[in-house]
Amino acid sequence: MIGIIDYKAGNARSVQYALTRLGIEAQLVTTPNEIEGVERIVLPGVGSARATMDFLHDSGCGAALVRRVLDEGAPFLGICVGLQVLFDHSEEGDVTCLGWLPGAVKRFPSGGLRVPQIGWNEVSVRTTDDRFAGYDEPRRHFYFVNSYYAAPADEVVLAATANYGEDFAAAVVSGNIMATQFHIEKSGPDGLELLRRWATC
Amino acid sequence: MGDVLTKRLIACFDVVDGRVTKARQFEDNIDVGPADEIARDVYAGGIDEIIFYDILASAQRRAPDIAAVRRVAEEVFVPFAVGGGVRSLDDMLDVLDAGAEKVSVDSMAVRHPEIIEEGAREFGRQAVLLSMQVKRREVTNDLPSGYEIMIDGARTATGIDAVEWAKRGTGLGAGEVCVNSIDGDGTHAGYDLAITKAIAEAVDVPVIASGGAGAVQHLVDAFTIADASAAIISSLLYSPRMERNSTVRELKDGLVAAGVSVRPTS
Repeated sequence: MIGIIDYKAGNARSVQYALTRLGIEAQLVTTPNEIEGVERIVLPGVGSARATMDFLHDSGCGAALVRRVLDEGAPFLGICVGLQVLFDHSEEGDVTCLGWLPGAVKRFPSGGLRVPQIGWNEVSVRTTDDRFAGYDEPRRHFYFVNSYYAAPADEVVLAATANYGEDFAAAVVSGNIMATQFHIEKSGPDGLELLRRWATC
Repeated sequence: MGDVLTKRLIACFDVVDGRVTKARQFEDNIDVGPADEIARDVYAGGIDEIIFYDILASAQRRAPDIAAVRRVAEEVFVPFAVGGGVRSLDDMLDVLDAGAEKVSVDSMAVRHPEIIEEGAREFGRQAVLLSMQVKRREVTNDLPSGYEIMIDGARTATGIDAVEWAKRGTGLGAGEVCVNSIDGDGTHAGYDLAITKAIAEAVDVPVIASGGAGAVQHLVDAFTIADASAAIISSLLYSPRMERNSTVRELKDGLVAAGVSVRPTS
């Protein structure tokens, strides 16, 4: 069973619909106990980094995630803000994040391009991870909605990049952790296929 | 303003009792079909985004039809915005929890602009789509752009200048603006490029052109002349008033031929 963390500011339901369409069972989870009871964990997000971190602290879900994902190696998927909070710090609300991956989350520079980035952007695959196989020929477009982006300190975690004035992390992979800045659940058939590969690999 | 993203084509559903309708200048709605079926069709055809307006909710002073929203959300895996009747943060949460990721605010935002600010704070700017119905007027001191904001399904004039409202709404936190021309709605005569361009120049968030598309060239004009980031193409796809409807693929092929970058249909 896949658990999708629902903190009432995110897109948990959309992720559940997408998994349901793929024939994969998933439930929304809101407590540390529920996080203990699922095999794979999705942390979605459309809210702010601060709101997400506040929820993880206040609910105890943050500690449960550390135990399940870092200690036990449960497969984890972060989406959008769920990618950003994996890093050390976010400029959005000047908030300390989970720090599972070294690096910072910054705001796209204003001037030049419209912020937030809202739309379909072309993604370059940088990883040999099987789940991204074929996604570079031809390059695919994924749906992004973000004003902030992650700049990993260690490029080895960069699974895919996109450019919006700056090159930024479109997807990261590190062991049992995968995360996408794009909305994998709203990126049409290409997104659904990548979600299927994460959920079934 | 530069744009590295592909231009988005959006199907906008004017929904009555769970069914998509098509109006002309906000009147005489014709039934097109069940919203979830149309959604499935346009998703399979390669649409980039869907907007769902519960067009009677506001006048009937009720929240949008969440059951109908959910039926559509279960069918489409592209961005999905919902509007009509959204009056509070609770209504916004209900819409997001039903599977949308953007909430469109319109009349309510004119009467209570703080809903924009509260929504942006709670759910992020990107979740708040400011939809505005604009009507062409004489240029006056009170309407320097020559366009007035109308509310309540285009029935009530507000005296508010369209460009000023777009600037105020984005200043309050709207992450995107949809400029819907009442004069152009359902006419197939082309978007109102003047007001779309004026607003795209005045704000730094993406602008959606709406109202009047009847040919690929109208889309090209919206993207290249008016600097829109996205365009609503409902009539082209399924208006019974069009002699012949187009597929998303035909429209995207036409755009590519004109040098406009779009997400390829698979």
